[in-house]
Amino acid sequence: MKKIIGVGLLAGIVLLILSIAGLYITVWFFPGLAQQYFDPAFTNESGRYLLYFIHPFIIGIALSWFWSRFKGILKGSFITRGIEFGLIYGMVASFPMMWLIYSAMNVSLELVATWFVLALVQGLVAGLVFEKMNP
Amino acid sequence: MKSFKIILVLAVATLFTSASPPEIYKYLLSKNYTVTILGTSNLHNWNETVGTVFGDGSVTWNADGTFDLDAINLKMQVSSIKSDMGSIMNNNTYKALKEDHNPEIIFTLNTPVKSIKAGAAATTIHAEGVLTIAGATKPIEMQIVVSAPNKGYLTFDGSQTIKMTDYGISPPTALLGTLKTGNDITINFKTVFTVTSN
Repeated sequence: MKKIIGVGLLAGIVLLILSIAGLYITVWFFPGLAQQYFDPAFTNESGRYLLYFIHPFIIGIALSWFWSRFKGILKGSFITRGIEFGLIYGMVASFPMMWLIYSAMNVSLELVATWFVLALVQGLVAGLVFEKMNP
Repeated sequence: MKSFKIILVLAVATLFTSASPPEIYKYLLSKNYTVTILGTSNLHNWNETVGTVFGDGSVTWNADGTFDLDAINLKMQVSSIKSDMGSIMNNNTYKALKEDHNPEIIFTLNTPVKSIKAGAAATTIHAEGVLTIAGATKPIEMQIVVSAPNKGYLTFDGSQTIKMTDYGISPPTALLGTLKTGNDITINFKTVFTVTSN
Protein backbone atom coordinates (compact mmCIF):
# COMPACT_ATOMS: atom_id res chain seq x y z
CA MET A 1 0.00 0.00 0.00
CA LYS A 2 2.87 2.33 0.88
CA LYS A 3 4.39 1.70 -2.54
CA ILE A 4 1.07 2.37 -4.30
CA ILE A 5 0.73 5.74 -2.56
CA GLY A 6 4.40 6.63 -3.03
CA VAL A 7 4.39 5.88 -6.73
CA GLY A 8 1.00 7.57 -7.02
CA LEU A 9 2.36 10.76 -5.47
CA LEU A 10 5.37 10.67 -7.77
CA ALA A 11 3.06 10.31 -10.74
CA GLY A 12 1.02 13.16 -9.25
CA ILE A 13 4.04 15.46 -9.38
CA VAL A 14 4.60 14.65 -13.05
CA LEU A 15 0.89 15.10 -13.81
CA LEU A 16 0.86 18.42 -11.95
CA ILE A 17 3.64 19.73 -14.18
CA LEU A 18 1.70 18.42 -17.17
CA SER A 19 -1.53 20.11 -15.98
CA ILE A 20 0.15 23.48 -15.43
CA ALA A 21 1.81 23.21 -18.83
CA GLY A 22 -1.61 22.38 -20.28
CA LEU A 23 -3.03 25.60 -18.84
CA TYR A 24 -0.40 27.78 -20.45
CA ILE A 25 -0.42 25.84 -23.73
CA THR A 26 -4.15 26.49 -23.92
CA VAL A 27 -3.72 30.23 -23.30
CA TRP A 28 -0.76 30.69 -25.63
CA PHE A 29 -1.68 28.44 -28.53
CA PHE A 30 -5.47 28.18 -28.37
CA PRO A 31 -6.70 31.62 -27.28
CA GLY A 32 -10.14 31.07 -28.78
CA LEU A 33 -10.51 27.95 -26.70
CA ALA A 34 -9.12 29.62 -23.60
CA GLN A 35 -11.63 32.43 -23.94
CA GLN A 36 -14.45 29.93 -23.42
CA TYR A 37 -13.34 29.60 -19.81
CA PHE A 38 -14.66 33.13 -19.23
CA ASP A 39 -18.13 31.57 -19.33
CA PRO A 40 -19.80 32.08 -15.94
CA ALA A 41 -20.39 28.31 -15.89
CA PHE A 42 -16.75 28.01 -14.84
CA THR A 43 -15.83 29.14 -11.38
CA ASN A 44 -13.25 31.89 -10.96
CA GLU A 45 -13.14 31.70 -7.18
CA SER A 46 -9.49 31.75 -6.24
CA GLY A 47 -10.30 29.70 -3.14
CA ARG A 48 -11.05 26.72 -5.36
CA TYR A 49 -7.88 26.92 -7.43
CA LEU A 50 -6.14 24.64 -4.95
CA LEU A 51 -8.56 21.84 -5.83
CA TYR A 52 -7.30 21.89 -9.40
CA PHE A 53 -3.69 21.62 -8.30
CA ILE A 54 -4.54 18.71 -6.00
CA HIS A 55 -6.31 16.74 -8.73
CA PRO A 56 -3.11 15.29 -10.31
CA PHE A 57 -2.33 13.63 -6.99
CA ILE A 58 -5.86 12.20 -6.74
CA ILE A 59 -5.53 10.76 -10.24
CA GLY A 60 -1.96 9.61 -9.56
CA ILE A 61 -2.89 7.61 -6.46
CA ALA A 62 -6.07 6.20 -8.05
CA LEU A 63 -4.23 5.10 -11.17
CA SER A 64 -1.38 3.72 -9.10
CA TRP A 65 -3.83 1.46 -7.30
CA PHE A 66 -5.41 0.49 -10.63
CA TRP A 67 -1.96 -0.27 -12.06
CA SER A 68 -1.01 -2.48 -9.12
CA ARG A 69 -4.16 -4.58 -9.66
CA PHE A 70 -4.04 -4.92 -13.42
CA LYS A 71 -0.42 -4.56 -14.49
CA GLY A 72 -0.22 -8.33 -14.80
CA ILE A 73 -2.54 -8.43 -17.78
CA LEU A 74 -0.55 -5.82 -19.70
CA LYS A 75 1.99 -7.39 -22.01
CA GLY A 76 4.79 -6.01 -24.15
CA SER A 77 7.62 -3.54 -23.83
CA PHE A 78 8.05 -0.64 -21.42
CA ILE A 79 6.48 1.80 -23.85
CA THR A 80 3.70 -0.55 -24.98
CA ARG A 81 2.47 -1.30 -21.47
CA GLY A 82 2.50 2.33 -20.48
CA ILE A 83 0.60 3.40 -23.57
CA GLU A 84 -1.92 0.59 -23.26
CA PHE A 85 -2.54 1.54 -19.66
CA GLY A 86 -3.17 5.13 -20.70
CA LEU A 87 -5.55 4.04 -23.43
CA ILE A 88 -7.48 1.81 -21.02
CA TYR A 89 -7.89 4.70 -18.60
CA GLY A 90 -8.86 7.06 -21.38
CA MET A 91 -11.43 4.77 -22.95
CA VAL A 92 -12.89 3.20 -19.81
CA ALA A 93 -13.01 6.18 -17.47
CA SER A 94 -12.61 9.41 -19.43
CA PHE A 95 -14.44 8.89 -22.71
CA PRO A 96 -17.82 7.90 -21.19
CA MET A 97 -17.54 10.76 -18.69
CA MET A 98 -16.78 13.30 -21.43
CA TRP A 99 -19.69 11.93 -23.42
CA LEU A 100 -21.95 12.50 -20.44
CA ILE A 101 -20.64 16.02 -19.84
CA TYR A 102 -21.16 17.02 -23.46
CA SER A 103 -24.67 15.63 -23.44
CA ALA A 104 -25.72 17.45 -20.26
CA MET A 105 -23.74 20.67 -20.08
CA ASN A 106 -23.49 23.78 -22.21
CA VAL A 107 -19.87 23.35 -23.22
CA SER A 108 -18.43 23.19 -26.71
CA LEU A 109 -17.30 19.93 -28.30
CA GLU A 110 -13.78 21.29 -28.74
CA LEU A 111 -13.54 22.08 -25.04
CA VAL A 112 -14.69 18.58 -24.07
CA ALA A 113 -12.26 17.15 -26.62
CA THR A 114 -9.35 18.95 -24.94
CA TRP A 115 -10.37 17.52 -21.58
CA PHE A 116 -10.41 14.04 -23.10
CA VAL A 117 -6.99 14.57 -24.66
CA LEU A 118 -5.63 15.83 -21.32
CA ALA A 119 -7.03 12.75 -19.56
CA LEU A 120 -5.55 10.49 -22.22
CA VAL A 121 -2.12 12.09 -21.92
CA GLN A 122 -2.35 11.92 -18.12
CA GLY A 123 -3.09 8.19 -18.38
CA LEU A 124 -0.20 7.61 -20.78
CA VAL A 125 2.31 9.54 -18.71
CA ALA A 126 1.13 7.94 -15.47
CA GLY A 127 1.39 4.51 -17.13
CA LEU A 128 5.00 5.19 -18.08
CA VAL A 129 5.82 6.36 -14.55
CA PHE A 130 4.24 3.22 -13.06
CA GLU A 131 6.01 0.99 -15.53
CA LYS A 132 9.30 2.55 -14.48
CA MET A 133 8.70 2.68 -10.73
CA ASN A 134 6.49 -0.37 -10.14
CA PRO A 135 6.93 -2.78 -13.06
CA MET B 1 -34.43 115.64 -31.64
CA LYS B 2 -35.15 112.84 -34.11
CA SER B 3 -31.87 111.13 -33.38
CA PHE B 4 -32.57 111.39 -29.65
CA LYS B 5 -35.85 109.51 -30.16
CA ILE B 6 -34.11 106.79 -32.13
CA ILE B 7 -31.51 106.38 -29.41
CA LEU B 8 -34.28 106.26 -26.81
CA VAL B 9 -36.18 103.58 -28.74
CA LEU B 10 -33.01 101.52 -29.18
CA ALA B 11 -32.16 101.87 -25.53
CA VAL B 12 -35.62 100.72 -24.45
CA ALA B 13 -35.48 97.82 -26.94
CA THR B 14 -32.06 96.77 -25.65
CA LEU B 15 -33.34 96.96 -22.11
CA PHE B 16 -36.27 94.65 -22.92
CA THR B 17 -34.05 92.26 -24.88
CA SER B 18 -31.48 91.91 -22.13
CA ALA B 19 -34.16 91.59 -19.54
CA SER B 20 -35.89 88.72 -21.33
CA PRO B 21 -36.03 85.72 -18.97
CA PRO B 22 -33.89 82.65 -19.62
CA GLU B 23 -35.73 79.87 -21.41
CA ILE B 24 -35.70 76.34 -20.05
CA TYR B 25 -35.76 73.55 -22.62
CA LYS B 26 -36.20 69.84 -22.05
CA TYR B 27 -34.31 67.32 -24.17
CA LEU B 28 -34.47 63.60 -24.80
CA LEU B 29 -31.76 61.30 -26.04
CA SER B 30 -32.36 60.52 -29.69
CA LYS B 31 -31.78 57.08 -31.18
CA ASN B 32 -28.66 58.38 -32.84
CA TYR B 33 -26.17 57.37 -30.14
CA THR B 34 -23.13 55.19 -29.76
CA VAL B 35 -21.92 53.93 -26.40
CA THR B 36 -19.05 51.48 -26.30
CA ILE B 37 -16.98 49.90 -23.56
CA LEU B 38 -13.38 49.01 -24.27
CA GLY B 39 -11.32 46.72 -22.10
CA THR B 40 -8.20 44.60 -22.07
CA SER B 41 -7.10 41.15 -21.01
CA ASN B 42 -3.84 39.25 -21.24
CA LEU B 43 -5.40 37.40 -24.20
CA HIS B 44 -6.69 40.30 -26.30
CA ASN B 45 -8.50 43.60 -26.13
CA TRP B 46 -12.27 43.47 -26.12
CA ASN B 47 -15.04 45.80 -27.18
CA GLU B 48 -18.67 45.95 -26.14
CA THR B 49 -21.56 48.01 -27.42
CA VAL B 50 -24.42 49.23 -25.27
CA GLY B 51 -27.55 48.66 -27.32
CA THR B 52 -30.18 50.47 -25.29
CA VAL B 53 -29.66 53.84 -23.64
CA PHE B 54 -32.28 56.22 -22.29
CA GLY B 55 -31.52 59.82 -21.51
CA ASP B 56 -33.01 63.20 -20.78
CA GLY B 57 -31.74 66.62 -19.95
CA SER B 58 -32.65 70.14 -19.07
CA VAL B 59 -31.00 73.25 -20.46
CA THR B 60 -31.44 76.91 -19.69
CA TRP B 61 -30.85 79.13 -22.70
CA ASN B 62 -29.52 82.47 -21.57
CA ALA B 63 -30.23 85.79 -23.22
CA ASP B 64 -26.56 86.21 -24.17
CA GLY B 65 -26.68 83.13 -26.38
CA THR B 66 -24.98 80.79 -23.96
CA PHE B 67 -26.73 77.97 -22.19
CA ASP B 68 -26.57 76.27 -18.82
CA LEU B 69 -26.59 72.51 -18.66
CA ASP B 70 -28.83 71.98 -15.68
CA ALA B 71 -29.45 68.27 -15.78
CA ILE B 72 -28.43 65.21 -17.74
CA ASN B 73 -29.46 61.66 -16.95
CA LEU B 74 -28.33 58.58 -18.84
CA LYS B 75 -29.50 55.05 -18.21
CA MET B 76 -27.81 52.16 -20.01
CA GLN B 77 -29.42 48.75 -19.99
CA VAL B 78 -26.88 46.17 -18.93
CA SER B 79 -28.71 43.35 -20.69
CA SER B 80 -28.32 45.22 -23.99
CA ILE B 81 -24.51 45.16 -23.79
CA LYS B 82 -23.12 42.98 -26.55
CA SER B 83 -19.51 41.94 -26.88
CA ASP B 84 -17.58 41.45 -30.08
CA MET B 85 -16.42 38.17 -28.53
CA GLY B 86 -19.88 36.61 -28.47
CA SER B 87 -22.28 35.23 -25.91
CA ILE B 88 -19.65 33.94 -23.48
CA MET B 89 -18.30 37.44 -22.91
CA ASN B 90 -21.86 38.81 -22.80
CA ASN B 91 -22.77 36.45 -19.98
CA ASN B 92 -19.52 37.23 -18.24
CA THR B 93 -20.30 40.95 -18.44
CA TYR B 94 -23.81 40.50 -17.03
CA LYS B 95 -22.42 38.46 -14.17
CA ALA B 96 -19.64 40.97 -13.43
CA LEU B 97 -22.12 43.87 -13.50
CA LYS B 98 -24.57 41.94 -11.29
CA GLU B 99 -27.23 42.50 -13.90
CA ASP B 100 -29.91 40.53 -12.07
CA HIS B 101 -29.93 43.07 -9.23
CA ASN B 102 -28.61 46.14 -11.06
CA PRO B 103 -30.07 46.19 -14.56
CA GLU B 104 -28.87 49.70 -15.42
CA ILE B 105 -25.70 51.75 -15.49
CA ILE B 106 -26.75 55.28 -14.54
CA PHE B 107 -25.01 58.62 -15.01
CA THR B 108 -26.47 61.75 -13.44
CA LEU B 109 -25.02 65.23 -13.74
CA ASN B 110 -25.08 66.64 -10.23
CA THR B 111 -23.50 70.05 -10.78
CA PRO B 112 -24.96 72.34 -13.46
CA VAL B 113 -22.49 73.60 -16.01
CA LYS B 114 -23.00 77.32 -16.59
CA SER B 115 -22.63 79.60 -19.61
CA ILE B 116 -21.66 77.11 -22.29
CA LYS B 117 -21.01 78.76 -25.60
CA ALA B 118 -23.62 77.78 -28.17
CA GLY B 119 -22.99 77.30 -31.86
CA ALA B 120 -21.84 74.71 -34.33
CA ALA B 121 -18.31 74.81 -32.94
CA ALA B 122 -17.76 72.27 -30.20
CA THR B 123 -16.95 73.32 -26.68
CA THR B 124 -15.28 71.16 -24.05
CA ILE B 125 -16.88 71.30 -20.65
CA HIS B 126 -15.92 69.86 -17.30
CA ALA B 127 -18.82 67.82 -16.01
CA GLU B 128 -19.28 66.51 -12.50
CA GLY B 129 -21.77 63.80 -11.78
CA VAL B 130 -22.32 60.43 -10.24
CA LEU B 131 -21.98 57.10 -11.97
CA THR B 132 -23.73 53.99 -10.72
CA ILE B 133 -22.41 50.65 -11.87
CA ALA B 134 -23.31 47.29 -10.40
CA GLY B 135 -25.14 49.07 -7.59
CA ALA B 136 -22.12 51.14 -6.53
CA THR B 137 -22.39 54.92 -6.93
CA LYS B 138 -19.27 57.03 -7.20
CA PRO B 139 -18.64 60.67 -8.08
CA ILE B 140 -17.11 61.14 -11.48
CA GLU B 141 -15.59 64.07 -13.34
CA MET B 142 -15.06 64.10 -17.07
CA GLN B 143 -14.40 66.26 -20.05
CA ILE B 144 -17.30 66.31 -22.48
CA VAL B 145 -17.31 67.86 -25.92
CA VAL B 146 -20.59 69.69 -26.40
CA SER B 147 -22.02 71.32 -29.46
CA ALA B 148 -25.32 73.14 -29.76
CA PRO B 149 -25.80 74.44 -33.29
CA ASN B 150 -29.29 75.56 -32.31
CA LYS B 151 -31.82 75.01 -29.58
CA GLY B 152 -33.20 72.01 -31.42
CA TYR B 153 -30.48 69.60 -30.49
CA LEU B 154 -27.29 69.16 -28.48
CA THR B 155 -24.49 66.67 -28.93
CA PHE B 156 -22.29 65.25 -26.19
CA ASP B 157 -19.17 63.24 -26.99
CA GLY B 158 -16.73 61.91 -24.49
CA SER B 159 -14.56 59.16 -23.20
CA GLN B 160 -13.91 58.15 -19.65
CA THR B 161 -11.66 55.50 -18.17
CA ILE B 162 -12.71 53.95 -14.89
CA LYS B 163 -11.49 51.15 -12.70
CA MET B 164 -13.78 48.17 -12.21
CA THR B 165 -12.64 47.75 -8.63
CA ASP B 166 -13.83 51.29 -7.80
CA TYR B 167 -17.35 49.94 -8.34
CA GLY B 168 -16.85 46.73 -6.43
CA ILE B 169 -16.37 44.68 -9.58
CA SER B 170 -13.65 42.08 -9.57
CA PRO B 171 -11.98 42.01 -13.00
CA PRO B 172 -13.06 38.67 -14.45
CA THR B 173 -10.49 35.91 -14.49
CA ALA B 174 -10.57 32.43 -15.96
CA LEU B 175 -8.55 29.25 -16.22
CA LEU B 176 -7.33 29.44 -12.63
CA GLY B 177 -6.18 33.02 -13.01
CA THR B 178 -4.07 32.46 -16.12
CA LEU B 179 -6.58 34.60 -18.02
CA LYS B 180 -7.01 38.06 -16.52
CA THR B 181 -9.12 41.02 -17.50
CA GLY B 182 -7.53 44.44 -17.05
CA ASN B 183 -8.98 46.57 -14.28
CA ASP B 184 -9.34 49.67 -16.48
CA ILE B 185 -12.24 50.02 -18.87
CA THR B 186 -12.99 52.97 -21.13
CA ILE B 187 -16.51 54.12 -21.84
CA ASN B 188 -16.87 56.06 -25.10
CA PHE B 189 -20.07 57.87 -25.95
CA LYS B 190 -21.50 59.95 -28.75
CA THR B 191 -25.00 61.18 -28.03
CA VAL B 192 -27.52 63.53 -29.53
CA PHE B 193 -30.28 65.08 -27.44
CA THR B 194 -33.26 66.61 -29.22
CA VAL B 195 -35.59 69.19 -27.77
CA THR B 196 -39.00 68.08 -26.57
CA SER B 197 -40.43 71.19 -24.96
CA ASN B 198 -39.70 74.65 -23.59
